[in-house]
Amino acid sequence: MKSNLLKLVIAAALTLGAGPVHAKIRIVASTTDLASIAQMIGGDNVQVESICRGSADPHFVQLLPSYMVKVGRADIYLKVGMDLDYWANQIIDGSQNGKLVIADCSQYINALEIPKTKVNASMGDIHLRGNPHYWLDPSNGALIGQVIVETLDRVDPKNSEMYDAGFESFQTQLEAKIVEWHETGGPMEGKDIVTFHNSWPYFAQFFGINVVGFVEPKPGIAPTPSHTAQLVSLIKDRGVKVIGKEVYFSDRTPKSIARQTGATVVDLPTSVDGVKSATDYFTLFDSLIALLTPPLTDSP
Amino acid sequence: MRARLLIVSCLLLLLYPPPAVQAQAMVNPDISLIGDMRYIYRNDVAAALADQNNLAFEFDELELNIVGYLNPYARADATLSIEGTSGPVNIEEGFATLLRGLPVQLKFGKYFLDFGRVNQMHIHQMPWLEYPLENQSFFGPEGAQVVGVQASRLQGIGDNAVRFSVNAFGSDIFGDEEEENSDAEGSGETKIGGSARVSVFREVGETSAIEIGGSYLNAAYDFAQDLTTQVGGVDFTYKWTPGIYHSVKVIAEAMVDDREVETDTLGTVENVTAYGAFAAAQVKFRQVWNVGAFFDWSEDAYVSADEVTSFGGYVMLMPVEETIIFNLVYRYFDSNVVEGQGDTVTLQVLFGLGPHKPHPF
Repeated sequence: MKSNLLKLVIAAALTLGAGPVHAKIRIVASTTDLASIAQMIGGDNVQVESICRGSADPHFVQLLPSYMVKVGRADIYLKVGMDLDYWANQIIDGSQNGKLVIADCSQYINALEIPKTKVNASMGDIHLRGNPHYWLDPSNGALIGQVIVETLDRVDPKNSEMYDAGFESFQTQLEAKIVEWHETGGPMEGKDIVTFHNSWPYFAQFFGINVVGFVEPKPGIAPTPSHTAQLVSLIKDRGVKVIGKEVYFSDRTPKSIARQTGATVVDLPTSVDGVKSATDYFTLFDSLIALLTPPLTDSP
Repeated sequence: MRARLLIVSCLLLLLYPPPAVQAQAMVNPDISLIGDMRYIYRNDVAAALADQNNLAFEFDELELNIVGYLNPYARADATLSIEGTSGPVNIEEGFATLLRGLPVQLKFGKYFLDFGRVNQMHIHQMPWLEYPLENQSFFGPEGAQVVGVQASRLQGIGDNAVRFSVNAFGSDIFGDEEEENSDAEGSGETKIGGSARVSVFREVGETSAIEIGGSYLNAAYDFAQDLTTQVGGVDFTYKWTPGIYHSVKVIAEAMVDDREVETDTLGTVENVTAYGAFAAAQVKFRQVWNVGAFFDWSEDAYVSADEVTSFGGYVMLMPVEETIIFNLVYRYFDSNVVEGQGDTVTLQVLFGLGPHKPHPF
């Protein structure tokens, strides 16, 4: 009887001591795009959440205590970097999480539009380290993934083989999709477009699109009548067919310009979940191509 | 020869070590400046009695804010304000926060006490232009700013974010009238006061959030007579922010102050209980426009029969984010003491230079 009791106690102690067999690594990302890539690489080993909604402007995020709680429970925080998610610092500070590993996903990116002159606020919202919308070039997806896999390997070295395999699989799928996107998005090459904000230099570079103007007179500055009049002339002169508007901006000025020029306003998601069809990093580009190709190429 | 040179080099290094240049010394903190100008038309009995001009152009305040990390675990915040065009210079806040590495976050220095929501705000965050009457009556004209230590913890409980905080502070926090009453002024004497706050924050759907809080404070305000006060408060905040173009904010607070007051020269002490309430709501539309309304009422902390009621509204234009703000405010007030009735119309112009902007509550 005594020995049975002893066995039971030892078994219980061993069971309790062993703890959860496979605790998931908790990741919080500033944006849904980084979260999507992290999920593809980490698979079932990770639990991923994001702060900024896919349909919201990533430049402005309210600092909610619930975000701080979320980050307080996390192992890894993924930042966009390049001063886009400056707000993340305050969320991280408020989280009181001393064990959090912070990864800046922009660290391997070859940044575009790094200012060459001294920057001041009269130029609008200029980012000192270059244009921060780098995830919209799909080939940068691999560089983002590189940061994520390195961070996962550091935080959870026991499962590094799984993460490396996840990254390899992500890269293989991405390479295949890039070939596909070059084909499906090919007709957009050389076409002119006007966009609301300067969110698209990386996307435009990848697909060979010419962004010839912006609805904003300067980055982050609301449209003005004089600038809008200049833009109407430009669109008429160059025969621009599409005004691309990030989903979170008002369509008031773009629609007014469209009425005067005959151009089409297209709502463009800048992030995963920005539109219903953009459910992950791959379908984000599928959606953008599907939205842009017909009006740019006059195809039905 | 090379070995000898190496030994001489090592000796020289020991005798004259290079100055230690650390990364922290190379990184500048964030520096911001906020200006608050007011163009006021006043129409009240007190001004008329004093034969005051009812028009005034005032440079209310220039605020210098410096924030930066001290090291991976701590941050320092300092806010200096210059009142008017020639001072004085006040240290509004100056504190170090141990951010991580401990089960609680610790704050040391001078800071706005987290009693309710409005008391934690800088004056430029209040489109209604001044601290609520209850804060002024119970704490002083600038609300409760304390020199102390705060321990706080944010805890997720279910879908709620619950924040607990406790403060211990030097009791000499109370404004004008109480300082005059205090024999301890200038003597360096102080007593330790304490406060605690619990707030529950919850997201409601994707774009709304509510926060409900309760605060309690116990402190001596007259050291010579050993008179104390207890203040309790509840607060409610609602925010709906579907995007950058529209939002709705509602804030409401109520307080009760139970204070020991000397009622005659013989030292008779009685408890005076006074109440106060404040509420404000603001609607943002077309990204750059805000309209708001507020209601403000408080009894006097020493004579609860004396009370002031105030209400008003404002229209605010923020043409380029929060870099420059034009705020036209109407405020009516009715007091049963010396000021009587009156109203003011104020055009407030705020500018913000640097990363810390004068964003309204």
